[in-house]
Amino acid sequence: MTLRFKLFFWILLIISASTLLSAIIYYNNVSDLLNKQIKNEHKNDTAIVKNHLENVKNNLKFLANDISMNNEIISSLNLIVNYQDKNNYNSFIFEAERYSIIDKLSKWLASSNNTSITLFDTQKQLIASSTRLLDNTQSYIASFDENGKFIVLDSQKKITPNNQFDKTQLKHSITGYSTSKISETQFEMCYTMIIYYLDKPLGYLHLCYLIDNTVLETLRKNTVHEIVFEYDNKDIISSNSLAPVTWENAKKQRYYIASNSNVLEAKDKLTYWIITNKKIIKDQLKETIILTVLLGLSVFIATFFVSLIIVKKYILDPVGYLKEALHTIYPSKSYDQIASKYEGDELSQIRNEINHIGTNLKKNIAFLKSYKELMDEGSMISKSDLEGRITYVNERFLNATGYELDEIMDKPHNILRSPDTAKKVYEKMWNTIKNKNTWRGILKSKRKDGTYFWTKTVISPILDENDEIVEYIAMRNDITEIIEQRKELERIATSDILTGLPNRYKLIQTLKDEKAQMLCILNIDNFRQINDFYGHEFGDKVIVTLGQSIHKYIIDIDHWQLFHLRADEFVLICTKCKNKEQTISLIKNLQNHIHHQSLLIDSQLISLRISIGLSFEEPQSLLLSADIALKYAKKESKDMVIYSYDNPLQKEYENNIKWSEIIETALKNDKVVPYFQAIFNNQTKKIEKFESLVRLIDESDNVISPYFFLDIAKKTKLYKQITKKVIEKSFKAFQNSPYEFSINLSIEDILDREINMFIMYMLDSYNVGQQVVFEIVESESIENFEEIHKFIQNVKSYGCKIAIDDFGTGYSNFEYLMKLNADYVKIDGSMIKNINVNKNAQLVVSTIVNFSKQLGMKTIAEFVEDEKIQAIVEELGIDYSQGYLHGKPEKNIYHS
Amino acid sequence: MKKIIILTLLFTYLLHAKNYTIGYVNPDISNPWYHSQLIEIQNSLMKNPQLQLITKDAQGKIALQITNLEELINNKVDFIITAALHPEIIAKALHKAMKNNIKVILVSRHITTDDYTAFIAANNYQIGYDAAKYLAKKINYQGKVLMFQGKENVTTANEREQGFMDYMKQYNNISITKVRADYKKSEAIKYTEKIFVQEKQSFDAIYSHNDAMLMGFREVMKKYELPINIPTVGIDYIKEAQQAILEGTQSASFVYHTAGKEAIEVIQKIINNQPFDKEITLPTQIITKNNARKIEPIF
Repeated sequence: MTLRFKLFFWILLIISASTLLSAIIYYNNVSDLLNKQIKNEHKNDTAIVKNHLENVKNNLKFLANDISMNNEIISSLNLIVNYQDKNNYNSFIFEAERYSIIDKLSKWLASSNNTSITLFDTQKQLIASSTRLLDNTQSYIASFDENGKFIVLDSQKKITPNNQFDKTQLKHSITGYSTSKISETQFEMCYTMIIYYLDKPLGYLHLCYLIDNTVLETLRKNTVHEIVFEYDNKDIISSNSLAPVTWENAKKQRYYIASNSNVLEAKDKLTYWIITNKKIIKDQLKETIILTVLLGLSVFIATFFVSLIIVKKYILDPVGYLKEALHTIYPSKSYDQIASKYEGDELSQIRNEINHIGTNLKKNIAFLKSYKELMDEGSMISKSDLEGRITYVNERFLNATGYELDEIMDKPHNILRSPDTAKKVYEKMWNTIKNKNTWRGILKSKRKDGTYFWTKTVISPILDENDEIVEYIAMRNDITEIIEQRKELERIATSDILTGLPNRYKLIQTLKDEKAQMLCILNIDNFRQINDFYGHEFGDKVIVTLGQSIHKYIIDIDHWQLFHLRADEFVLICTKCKNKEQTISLIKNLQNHIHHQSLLIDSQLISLRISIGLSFEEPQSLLLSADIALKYAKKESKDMVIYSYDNPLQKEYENNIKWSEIIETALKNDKVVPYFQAIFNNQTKKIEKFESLVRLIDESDNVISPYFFLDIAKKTKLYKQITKKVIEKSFKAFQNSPYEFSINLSIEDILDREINMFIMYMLDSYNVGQQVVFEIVESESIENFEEIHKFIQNVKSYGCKIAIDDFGTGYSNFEYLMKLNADYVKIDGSMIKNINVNKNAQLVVSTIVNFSKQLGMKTIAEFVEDEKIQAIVEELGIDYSQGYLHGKPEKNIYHS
Repeated sequence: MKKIIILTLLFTYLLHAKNYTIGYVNPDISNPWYHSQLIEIQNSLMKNPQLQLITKDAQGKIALQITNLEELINNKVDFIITAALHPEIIAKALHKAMKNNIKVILVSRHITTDDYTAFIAANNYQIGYDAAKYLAKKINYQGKVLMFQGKENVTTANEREQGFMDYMKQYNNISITKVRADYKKSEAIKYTEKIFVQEKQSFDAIYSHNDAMLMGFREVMKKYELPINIPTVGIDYIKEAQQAILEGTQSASFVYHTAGKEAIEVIQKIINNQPFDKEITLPTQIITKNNARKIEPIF
């Protein structure tokens, strides 16, 4: 059943049911509704009549009050009532007065139709009367003829027969409201009051409202239903002449609905009725039903067709578009976007979603297609069923494995399995994929021809819509080449190129992986001499031959491995030694074997000696301890040393570590300080200069000589910081003093860019250039003399001077002195301290002094410890003396 | 002894110095002549502070005059001054007044009974008679005369008409047409338009029971630019009449005093127990171009 038919059927059904139900409900209620409506209309009509009568009542009373208070009316009435004499009647005056009363009454009547105003004298006899009916006013006055007989005159002063005018006497004895019947078709509602003048009654004012057919017609225009005025249950005035029988029926509510009210109070004779013929209700009901049926049919037809149009426009058409568009989502077709005919509703949202899905699906299909092509091109793809039987393979898979398609389909995947691969690898793989996870790993697989290849493999389960595994898909990338290359790289990385033996890297790896119990380092003694003598190529052959020899020696010993550590060093390790003694014995035998064997290399017989450092320490410290043992052996010229903790070299290392820590702490706590030793001018006999000497204050405030820490500092790179400290603190100390002061610099200090720049910065900052003497220790050789010369030039531009320190002990290179453009030569203390006993020393010093003088340099003697030495120094013509005689190094600048 | 006499006289004076209330029912204040009468009474009373005046306006209506009089009687005034709008009917009301010991001074208009204390007026019959004599001569005892009548049933109008007619009846060649304009200028205007403009009637002379009605006649003639070349005689001699006489548009007017001053004089005499005439006739005089400048109009 199509959607179109379903909608058509349901719309028809719903509208039919709704219409029928509405009609039944309406029919059931319409009769009651009509009755209720009639009753409500009766109420309204009654209210209309009542309001009208109330207005009339009020108007009558209002008019009466207004008239009774009118002076002119009172004057006229007074004149007529009290001054006329019918025996000597002056008709001109009194009639005129009566007519003037009528004139005045017409003013009040002008706005009150169906109203009469009549004035009577105290005897209730007519004075004047005026009635307004249908916009026509009729007036009468009372008069007397020449015989004194009472007559009534109309407005034309014509005599009216008394029987034509029945108000010649006031019939009511009461004042206030009253109703009365004038004729069978005329009733009236009246208001009567007494007019007083000077507290005496002048007469009666009688106002009446005439209720007749005209009143009824006027009222009927505003009411829905018939109105009947009834007087004394006998006479009626009706807007629609009613036969007496009909009226009786109506009153008894037979064939009629009737409701009545009194015009005045409850017992008043004049009542009014609102009546409705029940036939009208029936007719209305009939009309309503016909109308309802026609309307219902119209609504039904209109609603049906409108619904069909709406459903077609807003549901069927868009759904049709959706259906057409969905067809185009099939992979074989090109997808067309659904036209956007309607916006904003749910179907347009569905359309947008389908457009989105369709576009994405197509994109995804295209992507998957490209992806598959790419995968097929680059990877081996296979699928297998839940038991691992192959269900799909791509071309690349077949090419890689060498199988034909029919040879491999439905075969278990383990057809490719390599026996080398541990069983647990496959177990782990199956556990992973059966748990709906992806397995990744490298597998070694077997080809049809029995060769192997390596693949980087990814296996994923394929799940169905219920999240159940239906198949497995595997993607393999051949990485055989990479594996082979890696193996080769590993081999290269862990082998020594020269000897082919495992190298230092392999040794460290092995020490990590395997628990070695012994390690010994075999070092060829004086191998440098072989290299120097025979050349490096020959040296290499010596290494290769020795390696082969050692390898040959240990090849039969289980758990022994040989490594080539560096040029002249081999390492042997034992992972499972039988016992220490036997091991030592084996090593000693090897050493003896090497010592006693001559190696034939390039027709040259070479005898080698080797030193051995041996260690049985913990695996992680085997290499280090063996190295220490070797160094000790070398130092002590022993063939073999077995490492023990009491080894003196160990002590030295520990000492180094200790002093490194002390220096670091001192630097950190600003305990590296300069001490100052005085320099004595031998001619002026005054202290004129000082030398800054570095000292270290330890945590116990001991002053430590540089002898203990300077070499270690140089090795630990703390030296730079010490140099900087001495420079800065010396500059600061002499900043405000007149003395020159000297600072020791090594060639390394000068060549160090950082120190060099620091010196220039300090010279700029402290402005002490004229006082500074840089003492440069005489050095074996200066490789970069230009840099030194440049430094000297720079510092001399600040006014600094240069001294050559410890001159005479080293190379005593005079050219060097000249090159450095030195200002001072400090003669080494070793010559000065023996100058009084050693004539040779005197001669050398004298030569240095003479030479210096000739070059214009001043000389300074160090180690001047007593007066004797001082005397000789002066005798030799040395310019300055420095030593304990003139002062020890002091914390502050001080001289005696 | 002298002191006793002086004290006695003073005591007597004080006894007599009681306040009196005069009720004045003006027949119609809208009528200039009666308005002038009110002014004259008020002026006369200025010298008599013991006399208090209550004024009422009958607006030309008998019924209203009666209620006015009855209210005054009810208020127990000491004196009533009025001019009766109807000689018989008003007489009844004045009868009640007299019965209540109220002194009634009638001015100008009379009543048919004796229910009054004093009556003061010019001789209206004589004025009518003299006016007829003047006009008959002016028209050479022949022609048509138009008469503007005063209010019906009032003695002034009746007497002015009677005197005029009595003189004229000897001349057969003189016909008289009467129109009742009720002493009112407005009524006279209506009749003049009807007779002279619409009906284009011509008359040889006009006799008017007062000057006000002649004023109405002149206004119409002026409005329609019709010439006034016939003799006209009025009564009262008011300012407008003086001016018209001097201009030549009115031939003559008879002085007719309002009698207000005289009425107060009578009241004073009554209070003072002095003798006075019950019927007091006021003098009158014909005013023409010859004496108009010399004689002051009555208002």
